[in-house]
Amino acid sequence: MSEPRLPLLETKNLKKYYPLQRGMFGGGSGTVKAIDGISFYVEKGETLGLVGESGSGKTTTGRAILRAVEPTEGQVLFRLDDKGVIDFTALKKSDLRRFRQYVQMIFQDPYSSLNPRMTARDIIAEPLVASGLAKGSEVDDRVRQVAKRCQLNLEHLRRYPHAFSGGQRQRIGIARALVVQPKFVVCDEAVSALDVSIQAQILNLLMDAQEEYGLTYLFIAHDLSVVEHVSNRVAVMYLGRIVELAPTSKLFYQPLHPYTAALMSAIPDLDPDRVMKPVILEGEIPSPANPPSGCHFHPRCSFAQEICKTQTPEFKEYRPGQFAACHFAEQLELQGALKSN
Amino acid sequence: MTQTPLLEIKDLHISFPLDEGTVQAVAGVNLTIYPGQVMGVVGESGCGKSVTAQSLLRIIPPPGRIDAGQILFRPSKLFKDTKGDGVVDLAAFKSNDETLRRIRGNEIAMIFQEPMNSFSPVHTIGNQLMEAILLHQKMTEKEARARGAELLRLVGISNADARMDNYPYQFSGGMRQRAMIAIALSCTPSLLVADEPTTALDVTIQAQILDLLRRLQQQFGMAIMFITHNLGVIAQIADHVAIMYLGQVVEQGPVREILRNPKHPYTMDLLRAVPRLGKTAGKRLVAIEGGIPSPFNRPTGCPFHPRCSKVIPGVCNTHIPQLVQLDETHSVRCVLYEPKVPQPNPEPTDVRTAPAVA
Repeated sequence: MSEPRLPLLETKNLKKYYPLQRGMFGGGSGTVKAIDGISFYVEKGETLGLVGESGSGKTTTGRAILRAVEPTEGQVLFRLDDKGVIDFTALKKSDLRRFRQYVQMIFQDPYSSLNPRMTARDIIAEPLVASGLAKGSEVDDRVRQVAKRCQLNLEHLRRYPHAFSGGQRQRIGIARALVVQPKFVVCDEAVSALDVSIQAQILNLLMDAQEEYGLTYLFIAHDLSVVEHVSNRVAVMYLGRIVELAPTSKLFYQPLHPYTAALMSAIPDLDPDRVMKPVILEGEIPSPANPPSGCHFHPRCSFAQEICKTQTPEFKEYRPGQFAACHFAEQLELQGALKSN
Repeated sequence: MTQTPLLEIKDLHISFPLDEGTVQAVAGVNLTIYPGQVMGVVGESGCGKSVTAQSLLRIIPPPGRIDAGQILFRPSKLFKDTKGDGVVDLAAFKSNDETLRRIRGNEIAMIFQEPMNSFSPVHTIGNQLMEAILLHQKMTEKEARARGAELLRLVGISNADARMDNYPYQFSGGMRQRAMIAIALSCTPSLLVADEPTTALDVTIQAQILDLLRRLQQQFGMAIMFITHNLGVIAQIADHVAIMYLGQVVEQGPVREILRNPKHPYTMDLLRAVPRLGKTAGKRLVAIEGGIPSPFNRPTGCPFHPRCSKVIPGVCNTHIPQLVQLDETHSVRCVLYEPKVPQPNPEPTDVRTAPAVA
């Protein structure tokens, strides 16, 4: 092993609670714990995949890192070579804009994430102008440079978003994120809305850009095959908490958490002779407004015991680099999506 | 195979005349489904897979219209005598024809992608289930209600009697999809058309629904036309698969054959473009170049030629490839497999910079 790399970004006990209003006359009663104590680090140059079902808090995690939603509690530490460690959550609103140049986001829906009344050129240039990184002709130079990198036709930059196809719009979205030369990019379901043939192009583009600019990604997706393809490590979320975090191959070969194993078993295999034998989870993902006691997963877990109902399992390292929050992580021998031959 | 087909789509053409021009959504689709067969239909957006499915029930959204072709269907319950052999041409009816109304839901049922938008929000699930039953079967309301609850149990909804009185908003996405399947099965159709039924669902719920559909298919012996863009789902549920591109079936055959031994360059490229567990991690994917062409601007010749890695300049851009039957079940629409390869046109009009094939 080479020397341990320093994490570029670290979240510590990140929480986002939404007050729940009942009735016409307000009076908050209870909270929705969208994310409830998320801690992880991402090393420079790596891709951390973040998976989970709808409502698990993946998107909120990504947004809380950028402070696109204000975290209720916790820290987002960001290491800059020349400025030391910055606590993103402690920044004043007025400073935030300056620091957003280091952290950018790519969105899922290339149709609603671009302003229809701005040209492609203006959309891509906006972060540059807003953060005051470039002026005058320099703006155009940098826009053209990044648009070229994202394989956009430079002559089309004067067009409006409606004139572009879904794949091209996603390239505009990527160009907009990369134009400020960020260090860290949150890709929130960046390829989920795209057709298979276009998805492959965008995945290649993201991976090339990562290599070229030394980018670090938080890659949020629900498609496990895509996550396995791009990620160095993967975190699995369930009801606002991370239940397992491991290097990709470990997670896919030998998951420790029953929820991870259930997700893995539900991936439809491209080989018709490898018949999917999904671990059928009882019921549906519970409401985050009223999560189950103890381990959030226990009502749907086939291995649940008494202790799971009362005690929240500790999130700890069971194998090198492989963390899980399950009382029985050591006893269960779970099957991943991949089998070693 | 001497079995009689349940459904035969012959050279179907569907277009949408719009202000901006005419969109040829379906341009000569041929597809045969046998009783009890699960036919997967795969394609990217704009390939015409949903419109083809909608045409079976004649519910193509306006201004879409069938320009040519036949949709021959063999009903199992109604009139055995319409054409002597009990076959009706669904494409020949007016869309409000009485016969069609007796086929819809009764002989051919459909489930949709968006389970939320497919229910009426102001009627209970039970009401909507009973509506389908009472429309096609002679029953009292009480019997229909009992039958409805039985169907909900069948699709795995617990506490079915009480659930009959719930409104759709009280159901989760997975449960709504189950309820929609219950409605579709209420008259034991011989063909179920499933248009991306699992696309909006989470993977674990998708697995449950696929499992349910597979089980019900075996129990009822119905045929399913399963439309999706997810090749993994196809591998898991279909017997046969048809790959569509820009309004045409470019290749079809048994699912194993197509996934292991694809013949059409589009199928090959599509399979290479999908990330595969344990095989592609960290590597570049082999992407298909370019984008799906604008529907107003269909390429000449083979619709795939501008993106094809095996394009033959002067041939593919001028010659419309014929459907070639490779064996009894596997067919492909590509010039590479045509017995007599047409000579290149001396003046190619639209050529990529690919080297000419010697």
